[in-house]
Amino acid sequence: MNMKTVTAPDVEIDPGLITEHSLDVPWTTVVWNDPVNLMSYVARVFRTYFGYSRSEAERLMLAVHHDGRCVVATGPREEMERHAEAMHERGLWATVARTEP
Amino acid sequence: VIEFALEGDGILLTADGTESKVIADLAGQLDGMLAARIGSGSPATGPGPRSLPDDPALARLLPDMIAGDAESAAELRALVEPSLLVHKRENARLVIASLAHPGMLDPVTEEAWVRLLTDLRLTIGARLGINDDRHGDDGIDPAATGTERTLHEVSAWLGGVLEHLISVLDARDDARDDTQAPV
Repeated sequence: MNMKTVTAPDVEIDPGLITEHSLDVPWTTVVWNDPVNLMSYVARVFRTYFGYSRSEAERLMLAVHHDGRCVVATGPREEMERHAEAMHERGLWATVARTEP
Repeated sequence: VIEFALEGDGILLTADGTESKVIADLAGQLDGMLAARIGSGSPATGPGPRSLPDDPALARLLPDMIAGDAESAAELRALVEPSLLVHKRENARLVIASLAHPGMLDPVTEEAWVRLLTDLRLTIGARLGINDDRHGDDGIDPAATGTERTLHEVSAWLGGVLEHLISVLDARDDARDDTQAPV
């Protein structure tokens, strides 16, 4: 039999983009409902901080209001911690959590 | 009177009378609460305390960032709380300064107003033990009397001031979106 060997392709990925956390399970930022914060304010924070559109910010705000909590971001743990801190700067109650497997 | 008006691309604050004095007083009280937390072991530099404040109002302003994992929450709090405290105190300072000299607000002071009004309402909500949606966003508990009733009324009034400021800021964003929209 005439077996042709195949060469391995060269990598075309910037190795700088691989971090020690690249294979980690992503984390989430969860915003919790509270009875004090104004709905218009919560929607405004989602729009101005996360850059969500008006309609998406409104949808997330209503999800927090009706379901008691809502995931507003997913990604690396450190980034989610920065988001939660930014929410606390603005008086929203947020926590970070590992995504459910 | 507390009023925010869109002037060109900026926000003009008009403030005088009882309303101005009440907000300056409350901002000063909040600053005192935050300063006391620093005094009790949360330095401006270096790691802060690891435990949730005992005071329910401070606990609401500085909540745990991780639920259900006390050790991780404590580690993260030690890292994050000192700067949160500094920033919240700075918001109070900027608002008090702007009440002393009302006029055009710089962007940092605009945001300080939004955050300070929010923190004041969260603090009053914690003092009143508001922990469900029973009162609605701003409803006054009809059963409340005395100091409790006053706090309810102050919170509802602060909510009105914040709603007004948010509406002005949102209107400015709308105007900016219109300007930037492709023809």
